[in-house]
Amino acid sequence: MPAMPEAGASAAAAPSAAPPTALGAAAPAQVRAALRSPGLCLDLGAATLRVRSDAPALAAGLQSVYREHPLASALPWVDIDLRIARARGARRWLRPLVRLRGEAAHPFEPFPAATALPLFEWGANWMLGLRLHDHLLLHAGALERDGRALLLPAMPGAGKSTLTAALSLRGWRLLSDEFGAWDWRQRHFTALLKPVALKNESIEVIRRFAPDAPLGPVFEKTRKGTVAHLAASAQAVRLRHAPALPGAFVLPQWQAGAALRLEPVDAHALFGALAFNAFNYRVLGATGYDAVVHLVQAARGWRLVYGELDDALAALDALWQREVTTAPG
Amino acid sequence: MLGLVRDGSALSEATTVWTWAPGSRLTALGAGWVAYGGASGETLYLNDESAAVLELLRDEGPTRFDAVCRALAGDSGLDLAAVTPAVQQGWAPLVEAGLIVAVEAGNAGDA
Repeated sequence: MPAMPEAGASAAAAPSAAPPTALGAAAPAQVRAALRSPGLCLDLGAATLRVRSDAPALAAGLQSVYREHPLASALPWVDIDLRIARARGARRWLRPLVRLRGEAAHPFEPFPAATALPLFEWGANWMLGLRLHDHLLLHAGALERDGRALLLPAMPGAGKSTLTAALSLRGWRLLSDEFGAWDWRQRHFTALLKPVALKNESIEVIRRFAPDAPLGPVFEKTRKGTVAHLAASAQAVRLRHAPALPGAFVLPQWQAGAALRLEPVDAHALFGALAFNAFNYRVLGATGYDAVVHLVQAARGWRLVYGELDDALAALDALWQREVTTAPG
Repeated sequence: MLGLVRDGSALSEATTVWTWAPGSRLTALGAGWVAYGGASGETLYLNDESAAVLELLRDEGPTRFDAVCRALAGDSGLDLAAVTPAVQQGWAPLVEAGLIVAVEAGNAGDA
């Protein structure tokens, strides 16, 4: 169940004229203490979460990849409540492990203690997909420009996160690399602002693309291979509650050596790409159907096949200028 | 899937009247149709024939199978003998998806 952090549990919750300290700028001891009790709260935009942990590696990881998020150990409400705890028992002396607990369950097997951050990221995404039903959660990268959202719906392996990361490093405001969070009551997209999860070759692709990219620690030999996370920019964090209207849907597919292709997708096919790939379409019933119909009628879709990241970005910039920025309404 | 509709004779029974399931949705999108079954929560892609059946039941209210076929034949200008098998073939998925439901003839008004 969602939790209401204890009132007055933190100095961060006290009224203050000073801007909140960014997590990356906070003293490590302060972050570790908050994680132990009462918990570290993250306001992601469309949802909030609280994490409590005694895992030594988690604090530094969070400070690296949530570096621009405000440090808070209390919020008026949290949607997701997670705990990442060191596993008990004799094995911990041989191979330290951490376990994720959320919603009174342990949804994953324990992870090596050093990979507490990937466990937190996967667990948080898993719980957001389970819980956040006041939004339609498209499985998509999501960015904003000119008040409009660019959605990149894709199956795993299509290069969605890499493209999302690259766009976010070239002036697009990151909303999420995983969730297109559509508020079906207010009819706008909102950020679910977490770091972009990069896997395997895409880590080096982004390093070459932007040598100054704010990447966190690299975790090798995880269940998804090598992973690293790209922190959101200060601007993206500051604007994480700013709404974005539907702009365009682009279904990306990276293929080694492929020439660039950007082709319109019929609304009929776009419906399926959004609905049947969403995390909670079926849970929402008729509301989900109505939401996807609205989205497909509100913005057009394209299929993007690319082999070179720079080509894809240039094509998306041109598409945006032609189809969204200058489009009426 | 098609076996779910028992057979043609069951569909054409004088007492079996069919209606659009409450809460269902039907939308034309691009080159095709999508529909949401109010009785099942399922989403379906539909062809033009099935969409026409749904539209008719939505707009006209409870209707017998043979009356649906006659109406569609009249609208399209095709022979009833050609329309009936096409409608029959698409009927089972509509029932299975909760888009149309059978009602008692006595509750169906003038079908």
